[in-house]
Amino acid sequence: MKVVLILLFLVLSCQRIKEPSKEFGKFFGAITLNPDSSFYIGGFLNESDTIDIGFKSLSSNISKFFIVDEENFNKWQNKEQANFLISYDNINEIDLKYPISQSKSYYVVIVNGLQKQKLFIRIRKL
Amino acid sequence: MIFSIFLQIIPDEYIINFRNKTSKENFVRSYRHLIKKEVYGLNAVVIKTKNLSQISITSDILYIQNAVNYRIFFNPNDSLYKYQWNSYITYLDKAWNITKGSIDIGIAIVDQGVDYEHPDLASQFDLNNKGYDFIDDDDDPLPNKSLTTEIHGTHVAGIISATMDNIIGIAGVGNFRLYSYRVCDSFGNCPDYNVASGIMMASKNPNVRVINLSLGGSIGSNIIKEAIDSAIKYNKILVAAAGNDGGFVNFPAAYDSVIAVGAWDTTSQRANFSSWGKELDIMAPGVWILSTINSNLQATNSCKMNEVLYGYACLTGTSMAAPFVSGVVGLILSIKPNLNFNQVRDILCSSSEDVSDIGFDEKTGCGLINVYKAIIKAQQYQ
Repeated sequence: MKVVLILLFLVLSCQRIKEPSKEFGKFFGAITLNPDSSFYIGGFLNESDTIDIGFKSLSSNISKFFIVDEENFNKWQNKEQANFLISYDNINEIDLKYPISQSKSYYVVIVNGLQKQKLFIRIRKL
Repeated sequence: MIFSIFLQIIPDEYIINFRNKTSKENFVRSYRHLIKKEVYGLNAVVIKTKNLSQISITSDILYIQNAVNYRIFFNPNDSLYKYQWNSYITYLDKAWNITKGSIDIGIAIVDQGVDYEHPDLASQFDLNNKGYDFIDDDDDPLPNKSLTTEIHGTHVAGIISATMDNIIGIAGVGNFRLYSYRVCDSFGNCPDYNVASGIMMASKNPNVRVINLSLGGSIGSNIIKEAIDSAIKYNKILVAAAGNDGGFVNFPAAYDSVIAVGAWDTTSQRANFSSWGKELDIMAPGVWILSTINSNLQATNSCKMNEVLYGYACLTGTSMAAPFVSGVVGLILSIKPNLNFNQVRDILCSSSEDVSDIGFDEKTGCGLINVYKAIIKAQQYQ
């Protein structure tokens, strides 16, 4: 009985350890976004990290660009009210260096409008 | 309406704008220790703090915003430049704020012939020394312009140095003197003795600093190896395509004294056809690359563009990745002309974006080329 309890404790302890989020990714490419679709990239960033984000569309403006933490990213995906750290509507190009003030997971999101279009994207952690 | 945003947020710096001069002065008295600067002529100050919440928000404050850096930037006016994803994802556009190359740097294209009459290439050639034709054994390396099977050399040339900012066509990596050594026939056959001859003639040309080899095979060649060893003694930098069979790095790229270049895909990964192995040095864009072809030829729906292109087309392969790196080597040498092969390779490698396993790996070498970082590194190189 004693052994069983100890094992149970170990299992419970392991469940409490939160799996570390994956490191913030890089993207260097050219993608085609369908109408009303989105592109995102995310991962864990430390305080004092800076992310270097650039994109350029070949034709029309994208509908929305934003940076968001994981909690609010999930809200946005669930179509709930989400708080963006920075956001711009109706732009076709951005070149942004964004300093991180708190260690956690973040996402960079590009939401397309009504036209299918090609985007050049360069995103990295500095 | 098209909107562009260029922002670099300055960490811990904020601009506070006030309702009037008195509100600003009151604020300055209360928070003198945080004030970095007053904005000339406006009721605004710049503060520096890690903790913005220590500021009491009153109705005297109209707004608080992050301070951001603006910057100068250059985008060439070439009509097809907007399709050149390879320039964008490698930060070449930023590197152009530092250097656009130098006509004093010669780059040899050992390949099929180059259409030096192309309006986007003509100004890069010296009409008294355009190179050499080892197929026809004369000093005119013009390709057989009517054949769609002889566009390769012209495509390579455009990637390296199509004239920038001339309204038409594309922008090459930089402004360089080009030399064409026609060692491959109209159907892409390149005998090793011709390749060796091309490398040797380029080596003996004092204006040439970089030799591009967008060709190769699965076995080595003693005569090519001898020519490469000789080129290194002449302080030339050799760059070659890794190969398109997805297997081992081909020769001559596999030789130690050659920079072996693999192809990067638009999907942000190694192109699946790109050869790999311990000899691979670096990756550069090699899929859907827009460049010059013979000026009398046209391409329809190239790169899925809904327009007919005259004298331009998209091609894919490590053949398109290598000349991009050759052009970047030219940019590096335009900053530090006396660098040798090992120094140039070190700059390229240490400035590349690590895109796979940490450090060197056989699939992507040192990583994806970052032109801006390479140029900064070259500036600082002792």
